[in-house]
Amino acid sequence: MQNNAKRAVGFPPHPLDGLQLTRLQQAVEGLNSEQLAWASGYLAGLGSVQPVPERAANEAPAVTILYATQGGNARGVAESLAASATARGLAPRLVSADQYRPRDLAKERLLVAVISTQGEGEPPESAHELFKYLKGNKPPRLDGLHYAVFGLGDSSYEFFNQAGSQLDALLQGAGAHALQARVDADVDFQSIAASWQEQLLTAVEKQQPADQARIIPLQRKPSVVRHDITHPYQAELLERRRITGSDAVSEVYHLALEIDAEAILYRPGDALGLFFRNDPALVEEILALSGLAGEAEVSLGGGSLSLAQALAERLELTQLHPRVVKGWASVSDDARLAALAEDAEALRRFARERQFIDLLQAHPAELDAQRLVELLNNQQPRLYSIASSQAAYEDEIHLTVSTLGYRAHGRDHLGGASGYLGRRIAEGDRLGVYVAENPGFRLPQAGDTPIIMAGAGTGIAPYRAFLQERQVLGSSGRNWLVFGNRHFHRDFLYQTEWLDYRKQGLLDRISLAFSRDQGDRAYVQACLHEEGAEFYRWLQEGAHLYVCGGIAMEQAVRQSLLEIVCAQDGLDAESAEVFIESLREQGRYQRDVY
Amino acid sequence: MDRPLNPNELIKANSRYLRGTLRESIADTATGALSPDDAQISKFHGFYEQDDRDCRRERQEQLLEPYYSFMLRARLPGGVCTPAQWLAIDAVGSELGNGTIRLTTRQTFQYHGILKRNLKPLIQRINQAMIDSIGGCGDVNRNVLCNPNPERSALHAEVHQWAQRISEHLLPKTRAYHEIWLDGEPVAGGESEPLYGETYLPRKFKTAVAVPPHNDVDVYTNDLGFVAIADGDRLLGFNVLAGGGMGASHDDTTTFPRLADELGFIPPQQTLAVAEAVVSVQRDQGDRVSRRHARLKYTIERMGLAAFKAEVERRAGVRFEPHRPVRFTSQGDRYGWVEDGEGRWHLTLYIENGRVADLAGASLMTGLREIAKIHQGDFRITPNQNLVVASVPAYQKVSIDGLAREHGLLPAERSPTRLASIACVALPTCPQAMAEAERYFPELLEKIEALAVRYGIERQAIVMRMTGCPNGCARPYVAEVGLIGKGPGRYNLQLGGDGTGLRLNRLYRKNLNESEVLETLDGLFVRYAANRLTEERFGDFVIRDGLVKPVIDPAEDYHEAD
Repeated sequence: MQNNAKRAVGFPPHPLDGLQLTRLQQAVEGLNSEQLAWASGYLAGLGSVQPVPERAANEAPAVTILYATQGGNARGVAESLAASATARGLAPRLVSADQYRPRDLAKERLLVAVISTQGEGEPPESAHELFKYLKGNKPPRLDGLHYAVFGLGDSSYEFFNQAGSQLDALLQGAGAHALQARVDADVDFQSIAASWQEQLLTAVEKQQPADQARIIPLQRKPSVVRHDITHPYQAELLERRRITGSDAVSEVYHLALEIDAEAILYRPGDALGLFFRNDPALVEEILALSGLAGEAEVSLGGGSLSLAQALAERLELTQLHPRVVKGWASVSDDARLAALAEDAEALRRFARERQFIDLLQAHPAELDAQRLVELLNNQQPRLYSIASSQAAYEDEIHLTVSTLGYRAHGRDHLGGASGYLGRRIAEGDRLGVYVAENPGFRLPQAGDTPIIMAGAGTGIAPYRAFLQERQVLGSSGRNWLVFGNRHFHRDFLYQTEWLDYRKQGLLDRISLAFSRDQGDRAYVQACLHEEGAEFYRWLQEGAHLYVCGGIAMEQAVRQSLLEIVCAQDGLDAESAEVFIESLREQGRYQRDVY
Repeated sequence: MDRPLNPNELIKANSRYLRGTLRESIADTATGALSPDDAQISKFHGFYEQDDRDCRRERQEQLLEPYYSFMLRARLPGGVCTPAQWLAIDAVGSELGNGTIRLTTRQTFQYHGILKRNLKPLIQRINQAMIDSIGGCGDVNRNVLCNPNPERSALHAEVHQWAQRISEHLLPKTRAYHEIWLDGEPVAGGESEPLYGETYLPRKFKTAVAVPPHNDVDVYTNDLGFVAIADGDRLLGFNVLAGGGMGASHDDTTTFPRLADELGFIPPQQTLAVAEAVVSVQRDQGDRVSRRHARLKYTIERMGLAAFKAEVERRAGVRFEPHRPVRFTSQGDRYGWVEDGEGRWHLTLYIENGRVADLAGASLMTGLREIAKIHQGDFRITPNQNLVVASVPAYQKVSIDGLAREHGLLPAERSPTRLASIACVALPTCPQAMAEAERYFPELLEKIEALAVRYGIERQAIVMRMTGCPNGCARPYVAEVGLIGKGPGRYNLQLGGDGTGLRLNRLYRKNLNESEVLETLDGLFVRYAANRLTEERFGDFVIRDGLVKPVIDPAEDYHEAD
């Protein structure tokens, strides 16, 4: 919000020359409110100490903590590490990978990287430049660098923690020395993060020259609690309404949550992490199948509670993790399961296609309540793109949720969070949420930059936030929505709002692809092809392209983009790739893929 | 008259002879609707924008626009089509409409539930079958009626030709329809509309041709009527009628239904000149400020009949001869097989509410398709929304009868009242509807039939007509019992039509719900059963019994308190 306010009112009178001002603006670019508050204190601190201590111009701080986050977990770990480091009197530099100049690696002496992995094994968008640099033709020599990598991933995916291991290998290949073995944390990363942090800082301190260990941290005014994955905010559901026709196959809901505008700040493009209650019917079934009493007392996370409560509120029941299957194999006497546990790929597939209840039913096992609780993972929050702009709804967060429901293994299955949000939560109920920042998916800084927003299904959500934001700010840039879903009459999410925006002149263009309306299945990428000339004209005019949706859609759009660039500009595929790459580097091609 | 013109007049004037921005509206895929102006212009092309009112509120909550679709009404003078055309009509209804065909009181068919993207393909498909929808709706002459008269084939053929000629003669001349829907070459310029001008008529205009003694076209309810005067099978000419119309607005006493006035007799060759003259007087003299008062009936009330008639004679260059005496005996259809003088057979099928569909237990649509595959004559849609399989050679009578029975087109007993009654489409698609009609009328009739049985009057046909609004598509103001939608589940009860379409009924009770309707009819049936004369119709009885006063001059006495 601060950034927006700044843009809206212009920069106040100042004593800086043009270049200095530009540098300052660049330096604070992309900082969140808390970082800005910190920076202002930092600058004030610098100003109050006279004379300014002499330092070599490019001297690196004691330790650089670099994070590349997708949903905010990596940032959380990095921040926590930075806080502990500061408390120990170290002077960490905490920086997001997209704010980091890869060439500066050569000047680092101590680097800690906290990095998550996306679904297909890719690093987060924010680390794109860093990886490109390390994999490039002229890789740096990093003999003077000590580093540590903390990877966050999900072992139910094939490329578990691939980004972290790649980074580890790249750094090592460049001659850097591992300060500590890489950690590949799984979805339950919190406890391992805590112990890793302690060990690491101890190691860092040993590396630290004595004279750099005496920096006095800036005293910060105690601010409101920062809500994150470990301290979720309890938001109240204000409203839920179905926004697909009653005859639609897909059940999509619009939800509005009430938040405290002081405690929760978000920007268009951000996601919301949320915790949910499991289906009571599912809990009942699990209790019945396992023959355990819901009242049985179990201990979990240092406290004790009933098994029923643990199952309903604390444990992961719907996203079956391979680790759980493996654990289950060890308690059930099922040879097939034991064999499965040995085959990583088959195990992953098995887990992906099932919920815990399927495992329990097909492979019964005798175990007590406590053992069950220990076998199961803690519930992982789910991330949803935020569908509102705080500029328009100061104390609300809107979500667009598609309820996942399917039949398999002889029973109906319902998504954990989507089932909760779509079917069970009632208005007035509260749920734990936190903002997962998504710095790789942001509106252009300049309000007059045109944008093309391509989305499929609930991938339309962030664009609703974009347009709300642009409307409130009075941004003059043209807006083009490209949307795909099944049926025009049933699944045109937020149709009346888009039509209103068009009527008001805010939305300049709508292109639609409804795949089940006619014989030839039309998808978003076909829309782009059809309007290739116009699409390319917009890009030539500086438009930013956003893509939000599933992996397949994202890949198809990229392919279309490539073909359009070739066709429109007469480029060969290689030059077109370069063009697209340059779009990406300029932040003009941003993706939010799930 | 400084009052501003009705906004529709500007839309028409700016439409470049009915083009508007229809092309752009059709190309806009973000909405299932047309632009508001185009939604007016589209009517001249034969289709109405509608939405499924059952789910309107629900969709609003779902942030979805109304479920828009279109109703397209074809132009089919006299309701006649060939079996090949029927097969095309059937296929198009299945593939591009909502899977049903709706026969209408104006002897044509309508498709409902057409999605915007299917409009152009649909119009092209019916065009391949030599059917268009020009002037199906809109402020022009609508589909021309002509009663099917199956038992007098030679006379019917001649009169039907006149209906066709009138229809062609009064067609708009703009090429807009061909350009937009049939990819015709755009007109370079200098286009004109010699009869209509660029603002067309102030309001819809309806024409019917009747062959006495059957008044199934309700010829007196049309703006312009021609009553065939024949000597045997030889057509001598027409009695010309003008100024009929059904529409009225609830609680607006300046509006009223009206039966046409008699202008006089003309020989056949003056038919087109007279038709054109009547239309042109209405074009120039009709009210273009208030659409409520824009029909010809109000123009004639304002001008006076004598002045109107003189103006028509002047413009047509004719003098009306005295009106020839005629006698009408019925306004309903005559069901079953009849043989004409030339040994051909005609089968009139009762189609409830005119809805041709495959229903549980009665595959009407399939049945008619099967009949069309072997039929060698023609089909005639009747003004009572029924269908005649006409001109069947004797040797095919058995097979067609068999198909009709097999598909539930000839069910056993139906009460004479049901067979004489009609309802309009109304909810959920008609934007005018205030109450149910087609979907509800059959079940209400069941309850009324039970009452009739209780009082032993079930063999007497009572013409009952229900509409969802006061505009009068099912011609409820000439029914013996009219039920006119007032609000959800509420109807005005009108009494006193004469069963032949020659007398308007009158409002008897306002705003009744179902139990009040039944209670009221119960009381009336008791009196009718006890006091009716031999052969006396219900509509005549309520007048004689003093329950309602007959309407003599609606402009003066229609709104008199009962």
